[in-house]
Order: sequence, then C-alpha cells, then structure tokens
Amino acid sequence: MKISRRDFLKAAIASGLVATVPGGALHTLIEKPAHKPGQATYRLQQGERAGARLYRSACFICGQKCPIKVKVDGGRILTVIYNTDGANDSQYACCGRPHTIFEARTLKERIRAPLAREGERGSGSFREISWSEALDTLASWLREVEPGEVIVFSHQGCESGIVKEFFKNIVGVPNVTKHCDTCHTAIDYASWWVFGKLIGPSGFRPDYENARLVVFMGRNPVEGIVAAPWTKMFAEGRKRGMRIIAFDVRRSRLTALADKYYLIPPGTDLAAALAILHVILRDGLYDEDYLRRYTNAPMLVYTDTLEPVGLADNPKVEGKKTYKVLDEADGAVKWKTEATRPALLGEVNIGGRTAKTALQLLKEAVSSYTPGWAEEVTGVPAEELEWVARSLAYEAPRAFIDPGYKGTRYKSEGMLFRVIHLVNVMLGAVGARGGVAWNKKPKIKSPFKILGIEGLGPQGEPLYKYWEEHGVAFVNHKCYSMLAIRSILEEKPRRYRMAIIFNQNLVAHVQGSSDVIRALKKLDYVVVMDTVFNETAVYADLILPLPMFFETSSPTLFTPSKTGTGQLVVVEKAIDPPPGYDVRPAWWIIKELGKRLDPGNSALYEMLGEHEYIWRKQAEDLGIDPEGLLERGVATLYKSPIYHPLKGKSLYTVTGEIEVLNVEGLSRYRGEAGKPSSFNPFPAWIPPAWMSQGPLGDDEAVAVDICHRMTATNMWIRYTRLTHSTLKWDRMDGVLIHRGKAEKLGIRDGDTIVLEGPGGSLEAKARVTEDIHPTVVLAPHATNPGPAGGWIKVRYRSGEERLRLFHRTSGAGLNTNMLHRLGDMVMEEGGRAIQNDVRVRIRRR
Amino acid sequence: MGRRRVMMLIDMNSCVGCMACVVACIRENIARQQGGGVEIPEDAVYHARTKPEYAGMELGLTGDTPIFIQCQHCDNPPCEMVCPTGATYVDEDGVVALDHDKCVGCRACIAACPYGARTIYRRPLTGEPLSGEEGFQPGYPDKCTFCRHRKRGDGLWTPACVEACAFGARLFGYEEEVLEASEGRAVRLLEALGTEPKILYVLPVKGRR
Amino acid sequence: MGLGRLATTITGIILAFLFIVGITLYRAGEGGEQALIPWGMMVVGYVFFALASGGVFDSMAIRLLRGDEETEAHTGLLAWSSLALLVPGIILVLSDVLHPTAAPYFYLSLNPESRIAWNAILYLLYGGGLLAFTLLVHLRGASGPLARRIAALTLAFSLLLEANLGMAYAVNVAVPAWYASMAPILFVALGFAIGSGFTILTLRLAGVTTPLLRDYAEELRYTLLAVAFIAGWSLVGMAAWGDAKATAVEVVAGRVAPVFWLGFAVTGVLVPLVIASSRPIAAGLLAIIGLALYLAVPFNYAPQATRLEVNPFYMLLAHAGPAEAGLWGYVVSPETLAFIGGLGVWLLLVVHRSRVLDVLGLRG
Repeated sequence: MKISRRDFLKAAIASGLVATVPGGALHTLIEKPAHKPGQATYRLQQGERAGARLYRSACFICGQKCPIKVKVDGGRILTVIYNTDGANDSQYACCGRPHTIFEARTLKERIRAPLAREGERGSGSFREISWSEALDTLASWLREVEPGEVIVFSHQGCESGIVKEFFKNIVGVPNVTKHCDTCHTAIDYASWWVFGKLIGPSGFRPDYENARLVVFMGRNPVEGIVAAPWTKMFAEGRKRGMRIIAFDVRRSRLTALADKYYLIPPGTDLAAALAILHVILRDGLYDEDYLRRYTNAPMLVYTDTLEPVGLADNPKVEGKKTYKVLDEADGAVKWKTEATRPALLGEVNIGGRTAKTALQLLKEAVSSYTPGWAEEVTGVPAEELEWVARSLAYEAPRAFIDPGYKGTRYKSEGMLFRVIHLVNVMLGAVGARGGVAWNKKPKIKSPFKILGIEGLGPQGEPLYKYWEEHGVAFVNHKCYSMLAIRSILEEKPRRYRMAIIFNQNLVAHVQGSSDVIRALKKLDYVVVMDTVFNETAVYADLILPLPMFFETSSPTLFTPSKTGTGQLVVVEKAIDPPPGYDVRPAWWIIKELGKRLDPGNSALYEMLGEHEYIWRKQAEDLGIDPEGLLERGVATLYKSPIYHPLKGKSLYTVTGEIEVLNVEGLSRYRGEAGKPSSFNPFPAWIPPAWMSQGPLGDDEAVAVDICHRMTATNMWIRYTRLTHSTLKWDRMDGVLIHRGKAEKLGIRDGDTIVLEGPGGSLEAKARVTEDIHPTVVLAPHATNPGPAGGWIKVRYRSGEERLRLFHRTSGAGLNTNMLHRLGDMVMEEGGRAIQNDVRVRIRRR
Repeated sequence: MGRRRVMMLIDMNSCVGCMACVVACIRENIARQQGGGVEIPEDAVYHARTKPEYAGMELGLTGDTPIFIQCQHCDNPPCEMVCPTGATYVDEDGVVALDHDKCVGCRACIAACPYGARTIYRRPLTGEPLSGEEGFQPGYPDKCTFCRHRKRGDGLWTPACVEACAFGARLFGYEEEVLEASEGRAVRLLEALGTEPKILYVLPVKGRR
Repeated sequence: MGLGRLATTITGIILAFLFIVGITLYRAGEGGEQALIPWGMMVVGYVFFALASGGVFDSMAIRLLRGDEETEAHTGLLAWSSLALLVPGIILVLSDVLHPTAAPYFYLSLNPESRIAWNAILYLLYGGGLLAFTLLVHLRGASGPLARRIAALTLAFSLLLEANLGMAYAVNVAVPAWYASMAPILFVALGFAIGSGFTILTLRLAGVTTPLLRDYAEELRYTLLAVAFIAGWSLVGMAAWGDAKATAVEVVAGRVAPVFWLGFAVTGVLVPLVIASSRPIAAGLLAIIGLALYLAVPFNYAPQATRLEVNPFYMLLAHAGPAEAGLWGYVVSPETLAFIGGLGVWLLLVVHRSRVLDVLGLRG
C-alpha cells in the first residue's frame, strides 16, 4: 500500500506550523493538560486536599458527548459534574452513565497492553507485545494488502472521526463504515420519502420544551442513549405542561411519567400510527394552510399512471419543480405557483383521465386502516386511538409523534417513521415551535485539514455500489456494516482480507453474530482497537488497547450530537490510565502509523499531539473566541434550532417542499402501490417479520432488547458492578418473561432458561414480570456474551491473566443479534437490521 | 439551636431517574478507590444512600412516579429516639448523623425508620470511601448524611447527589430558602407519623394542565 | 453421678457448645444482612432469657414476701436458677450487638428517650439485685428482713425490665404491629408463664416434689390464660388498625399460622392447660417451647416480615435488595443455635449448682 504524498509539508513550513513541533516530542501517556497550569484548577474549599483539579471532558459512553467536568486527586476520581453552559443550559445535561467512570478504570475486562493472538483465532489466547511491534505489524499488513481489500469499522469514541478520515483519505481504504444500519437507518429511509434526503435522527429536534402533547412510539427519551439533552428538554417540557402518550412493549420510566400509555405487541406501532393518520385524514383534522404552503398535498396526480399531472421548473425556487393543482378560486387546473387557493382534496377530469390531489390519494390509501382495524393488531381500543388522534390535532402544531432515534428493530419500522413524519406534517408540526424543529450542526474542521495532512482519498469503489446494483436501496453511504459482513462472507464484489475494527463490537452489534464470526474467521487479518475485551476482540489477531475517554485528551473539538444549538466541547485528559496499563489513544496510534506509512510527513503527524493548537484553529474557523472556549470547556454557537417547515429555505425533495407523496418515489416505485412493501409510495401496513410467520406458540416469544438507563450499546459500562447493581435493583438482571408465559412453561423467577432463535441460542436468567407485553421476552442490549462467554487467557509480561466477559457481574441477559441471522436484514431499506424482529423458543434448562 | 438548618427539595417533575445521584453517592460514600483498584460492595444500589423507589404509587402520593428511599433527616427522628447511646443524633445543621464510636449495633434505628432509610452490610470491606469516616462502614447502620463531610467552616455545602444532578431536580439549602423555592407545592413523606422530614418532594404533574 | 444427671449434663454440654458455635458464626457475619429483619433470633433469645429469669424470680419473690414457707425453703435454688437464666441472656445481648466494645456508652452517653437504654440500666439493676439476693440467700438464708427488702426491690426492677423490653418493641412507629401494642403487659405475663415453666423444671431437676410443684403448675395455668388473652387481644387490635392488619392476617392465616396455631395455641397453651395438674413437668416444658415459638415467630418475626409487604419503602427494599431469607432462613440460622444453646448454660448451672457453689465458696 502506498501513501500518496503532496507537497503539504512545504506549505506547512511556510505557515510556520512546523516550528511549533516539539523536537522528537515524546507523546506517550503523559499528555500535558491542554490548558495553562492553574487555569482550570478547582477552587479549593477551605480544608480540602490540595492537588484536586477539575478537568473539562465529554462523556463518550454513548454518542451524545455530553460535556462533563471530572475532579481528580491523587489518582482518584472525586466527582463527575455536568459542565454547564449557563444560559444555554436548558438543552443540555448529562445522565447517570458518566458517573460510573471511576469503576471503569480498573475493570477486569480492560485490555492493558497491545496483544497478539496465540493459537486458533477465537480461542481467546493472547500474549503481550510491545507497541513498536504492534505498530510495525499493523503497518506491514497495511503494506501487504490492497486498500480495497480492507474494511474499516468505526463506531464510538472521541477519535472515531479521525480514525475514519485517516484510513479513508490517507491510507485510501474505500470501505470505511459506521454502524447506523444497526441503529437508525430506517429513520434515514423514512426521511427520504417525506423530506427528500436520508436524514438521521440528529437532523430533527423534538421541541419538548414548547410542546403540549407528544406521542412516543419506539422511542424512550428518558432511558435511551444519545438522550441526555432530550431528556432535559423532556423534563422541562413536562414541567411546562407537555402531556405524554406512550406506546411501548414494557412499563418503564417513560410509561411511568406518561399521562397515558399502551402496551402493544412489538413492531405494531405502525398500525397505531396508520390509524392516527386515518382519523386525521378522515375527519379533516390536518392544518390546511400548512399543507398548502409547505407541502405537495395539492399536487394533482393521474390515478391511472400515478404520474403528476405536470411537473415544471419552479420559477420562484431555483433547481426545484412545481406542479399542477386545482385552484379552488376558479376551479381551473394550473401551476401551483400561479394558483390562489390550491385544492387539498378532490379529483378532476383532465382529457378523459382522472387526476386526484396527493392528499386525496393519501386519504384513500389509509382509508382501510381504521382504528377498529388497528385495535385488532395492537390491542389498543379503537376509541382510544381516535382519542389520541384528536388530542394531537387539538394541540397541533405543538403536538407530534416523536420522530424517534433507533430504527432497526422491526421490518415495519421504516414505514412507521414515514407515517410518523406524515402525521407530524398533517399536524403542521414539522418546523413548528413545540413541534419537530430542524437541528443546526456546526461543521468542525478536521485535524488533518488543519494540519495540512492530505491523501489521495479512497482507492477503489466502495462495496455498497455493488449492492446498490443488486437491489439494495437507500444505502446510507457512511453506514453499511451489515452489507460489509455480507461482502466478506460472499466475497462480493471481491475477496476481503483485512478488517480494522475501532471501538465497534461487531459480533455483539450486528444482527447475526454467528455470521459475523464466520466473516471474521474468513479474513487474513483482524485488528481491533478497543478499551475492553468484548465479543469481537476475542476474534482479533492484533489488539491495540485504547485508554478510556477520560484518560486522553482529544485532538479535535466536538459537538454534542443531538441538539439544535451547536454546542462545542473540549475534551481534556482527566487522569492517567492506572499504573502499568500500557494503552495509547487513537490519535497517537494514527500518528505513529502515519509516521511508518508516510515517513516523509513525520513532522506533520507529530502535530496530531498538539491538541490545544488544533482546538484553537477549529474554534477560529467557526468564529468562536478560543480563549472563552478553553476557559469554560463549552461554547454554544446558535440560540435556537430552525423553526421553519422547510428548514428555512427549501427541502431536498424534487419540489423543495415536504412531499406527502414523494415525486421521485412515485416515478421509481409506482408499481409497488398497494403492496406491503418499503417501496410502496403510499403508507401501507407492513407486518413485523415475527407476525408474518403465524401466531406465536406458547413456548415462543419475540426477543426484544432495550436500552437501559445504565447501559449503552456494547460499551464497557455493561461490565460494571454499578450497572449490574442497577439492573438488579430494577429486576432486569436477566431476561424478562411475562408471568402468564412463564407459568405455562413452568419457569420460575431466577430459573436458567434457554432462548433458541434461528441464528443461535442463549442461556439466560428468567425474571418473571407483568410489566411487559406477553408476546415478548426482553432485556437490556448486549447483556449476554453468548458464544464469547468463555475464558480469555492473556500472557502479560507481568503474568498470566484469566478473565471472562462480565467477569464480576453475570451476563445472564440478552443479545438478540446472537439469536438472529444476518440474512434477515431489510435490503429495501439500506440493508438495515431488524434486531428485535426475531421469534425465539423458550425452555427451562 | 438558633442555627440555620438545612433542607433538600427533590422535584419529581425534573427527575428522569437517570441514576446520576445514586452513582455519585456510591462513589462518594460507599465505594472504595485505593491501590489502583475499586471496591464496590454487593448490591451497591441497595446500599446507596439515595435510590429511586418504584413502589411510590403505593403511597398514594406520587402516581406511578418513584420517590427516593433515603434518610429524610426528620426533625423528630424515630431512629434518634430509639438509639440507646445517642450514637444517632441531630447535628447543629439539622442533619441526622451517626457517631460510629458510640454505636453498639443494636439495629433499633433500622427497625424504627419508617422510610427504610437504613441499610447494613455485614461482609468485610477494606479502606474507606471518599467521605472517610462519614462513609459506609461494614456492620454499621448506614444512611444519608447530606454529605456533611463536605462542609467547610460555617458555610453551606453541596451534597454529591445534588452536584451530580444535571437536571436540577435536587435543591439543597437552608430551610427558609428551600421552603421558599418549593412554592408550597412540596409534600413530605409519611407526614402523619409526626417525623417532620427535612426532605421535600414536588410531585409530578399529570393529566391536563 | 446418676444416669439421669449424666444425661442432663451431656445435654447441657452439647447445648452449651451450640451456644458458642452459634455466637461465633453470628459474629463472623453468617447471619446475612439485617436491614430487612433487623431483629433476629438472638434478640428473641435475650428477651426470652430475661423474661424467664424475671419470671422465676417474680413468683418466687412474691411468695416469699407473702411469707410462703415452702418457697422460702427453695429460695436459694430458685434464685440460682433465675440467675442461671440471666447469664445466657446477658451473653446474648452482648453477642447480638455488633459493637459490644461500645457498650459502656449505654451508661456514659445514655439517651433517656430510648427504651433500649433503659433496658441496659434495668438489666444492671435487676441483675445486680438478683446477684445480691442470691448471694445473701446462699450465705445467710432468705428469712431476714434484708433479703425481703432486696427481694422487693429486685422484683420491681424485674417487672420494669420485662415491661420495658416490651416497650422497646411498642415504641416503633415504623412497625405497625408493634406500635402502641400490648407488648409491655404481654411481656410481664409471658415472664410469669415462662417463669412458671422454668420453676417447675428447676424443682424437678433438683428432685423437689413438694406441693410447690403443683402450685406452680396451677400458676402456669392461669398465667397461660393471661398470655393467651393478651395475645388474642393484641391480634384483635392489630386486625382493626391499618397496616397492622396484615400482620394479624399473617399470624392467623398466613405463612406463620402453623407456628401460631400448632406451636403456640396448641403446644404452648391448650395442652399445658389440660395436662398441668396431671403432668406438670410436661406441661412446663411444652409451655416453654410454645411460648418461645410465639415470641420468636408471631411476635418478633411476623411484624417485621409483613412490614416488607405494607410499607412501600420496605416493599422495594425487599423486592430489589439482597435476597431476604424468609421465615425458614430466619429460623434456621446461627442465631437460633445460640438461642437454644443458651439453655445448656442454664441447665449446667442448675444441675451442678452445688459444685459451683463449692467452687465459689458460697455454701452457707
């Protein structure tokens, strides 16, 4: 593998940059705190131990990156505090998770030094090697294989961005993927249909603070990950009178706080949402003015071919189309731009062909989805669904169905979020104050760009191109981890030889763990960078151990993900890794790898350690005062999110409007109308996969995993005793099974049970409860190591260490991915997962 | 007397049950960080000096939203009354405190507390938590101290749970300030027993408002 | 040594051994957590021995003060037996508290509001009086006015101690079935009943077969009636009052009902009532067993256990905290060994009274 080089070093020298490079700087573990000494020192109270210092950091346990301060003294973590930003505080917070960091440091599962595999891959035997040996090995492998033979999987951590950029743009790996296809891809897909582009959950901001009624389906902003700011706004909203209606498969903190909740079978929220849409359209509860101004609801469409009656360049909005409508003012068919009062409903005869408005077609499409029909699917009484719809309409536009966060649980989920978007559009809530606002997110200049480190970019075609040519639609081009696993297994479009896995627990995270294990075993080289042993690290050839996020400073500024006001966060190192832990941050690994692969640019790579320099440049680039940012650790860029239905200008659709019937979707997929398909241009009932396989037997259930307030996806936090103790306190230290089902199967609380799915089986502890829907068995995600639960043997130089995952806790919970098959993914929606849409057989062991 | 007495207000509208206060309490008062390791007792949440209580609806006070199990720092504490040696006492700030030296371990205080606020741990633990002598000690009836070890001089201090709450659900201060902040919306738990708790709860608002 | 005496001695040694084992295991923390059921069998044990000691003493002192000559003849024996019952009681108190080295604070830092503090004082006053009386009787006999004065004073302390032990329960506003209950008067009655049983056994062990035995059998009958009446009255009271009702239901019809009906009502009260005149020793023994069971389970355990089902705070502690051992775990524990073993201490001291007196040089 060749690193392309440009003459950026010369430019860097010219800019005086290299002059600041410390000669042969030894950036090992002992990073200097980035601020000037004394600047952020904690103000000692009388009598307090001297030496206590407060460091600014951000929590990376989930993807939100909430700003925190960590007070440290004598190698002990004294406090963890949310780093408040004064006036802008109402939109930010941090939850209980970062408070666990004091236990994280010395977890038994921590990887304490670079490791090389011994024995069979997956045998769990490793030996310590030096960092130079580890980096030389990795560099030699990267030289040996073609960039196109490598797949980089990168997920969490403060450096995932620079890891991706380094491998993609500098090493030239065309396949660098994130994890969204096991997270929110169905939401991206749904957004395309209504707003014209794949937009993930970070694009929207549910404006709880100003809302009067919010309906939750498939989202729990109280316990979910990437939620703390939303939780804060949620709490603020509740105080200010926001009412809550929740649909869920279990009783939880959310249902406890809700004014009304319904327990429904998993994945049937779609039926409830369709019924709500039905009532709104049936009774004309939509916001007429909003639909006329901001949506294509009046667009006339021929009923025979489902083509718009006319489509022409919009003279008022560049690059967007306008269409024919029926003007109620004079009963004529004309361009919308010329109409006085476009009709929302109705049909006209044009040259012998019938044309109807988009809203009319929509209304007809959902006419059979009555509340009575939905009652049969969900068990929620029809009159209650009528009430929910009317309540939403009554409070509109300060009322909406939450646009969600995770969207890869059920087959029905893409359509669910499409219908949710449509309901919110009908209510006039999209872009409204108290509705679903649009997020603003600053673009932070990458450290590589700041330092002038450049590469040729990806060397070859990404693998999703192949899959897009073979029927996979709506692929998020940053997220195709499941397709990548499939590519490895099927050697399509080519054979792959190497995986570099950064903070991404593929085996636990991707639907079909046994398929992922098979894929990893097919590769020549598997490199894992992580903080702790996990289900994936067991299959690695080379493990590069990372520090915990609070044990390193970050080479880049961050913005907490899911808020609309662009807060910037500085991440300082708060504390060293424990003595004897030979771990290195990713930026250091990249620096050293860069120097090996691209020795001519060593001086520039060295600069990756100059974090304060980079932060200042990034802040200047965004027009913020670096001093104020460094002083406080946080800065907020914008006053509010975007309150405008079209995000202030025009949307990404063909018409630039919100499209209740997607123009491009109609042209691409008109043949799918009327089918239970993701490609159906109209809202339609798509049953969850488990439901299509006939009624559940007495010994069967749908395996559902949830996010608990003290767990996060696959992170070390699940190994802590603090989390385990909380799960135990919540009686969730096992798999919840409904009392009725348990009694039929002779299962008592605390029994060991076996769950058998199409892709594997798990042993778990039964927790008998009445707080879940009888169709499900349920537990927090990734609380069971499954096949990776065996002993791991590590020959450290200091002596041999034997450990298991969940070493000091139990691991008797659930991981639905281990019960599932990769092949059941939804190809129509970006090759996404259906992680909770799996039937399992349950028996007592 | 004549001293200013402290009080705590917990606003259950702001509380989302994230566990920050519980874990912060464990870190401050229960767990041990020493010698590069961390020792956390079994059932740490149970032993935390504050923890959400999901059966709160049984009180008929809180709908189905939890309140917190923790010492209510009663003005008229049943645990103090039954303590034979005065080991449990109300200090100058109104904090119900325990003098470990005087405690004989008769557990009358545990029996006497209507709030389930006292736990006891009978397995060995080495070292001590950040809160030192005020921290969790095996064999002693443990309870919330309002983190009074954080007090310096005569001033007010911030308990770990209050410091940890990013949602502003907990307010700690002098009696008159806290009462004023409660705006008359707050309740005290099991008030009919005459215990006069110094923890006030603002109960969650539900339904049409 | 006769065969019976040998068998009694061996039984005593075995029990005393269990006493030591039980205490040792308990001190090592083998009793589990104590937050949910803070007062276990050791507490029952020391209450039981205090009541038994007081009961033996009370009847004896009352008869003595009334001038009963037959009683006067056996005062030494009965005072000794009473003292022998107090010894395991005090050992159990000091073993049950987790930090006995802090015991001086009972007196140095006394909290006058606390019933347990008064227990500490009354144990001292009663124990001191009993010891003085026993010494006096052994050295000078029971006939003098000094002995009567000490007997009267100690009787007062004894009754106060019994009632105060009951008050330590009855002041607990947090345990509905105890709060403001009949416990103080119940304990006085229990003292007399258990005391009658032990007096009968003491006399039998000493080979005394005078009519005194029958008198005590008669006393056992009416004190048992008193206990049964107060216990029943307490249940009616509980059943009528809020959260305490759960305890009444638990006792009469719940998991502890077999102990209440079979252990207490039948074994402890009915059968002894019927057979007291014909078989006083069996009646005394059964009454002791039945009343100990009553004290241990319906009285001490049930109110604490049902609190876990009625008080929402305790409900969750029990629901989500460390596993609660339940009735079985409560009964089958080192504490129970210590309790039962305490009888061995009494047995050995009573059976070998003369030898001990010789050793102590108290043969008057």
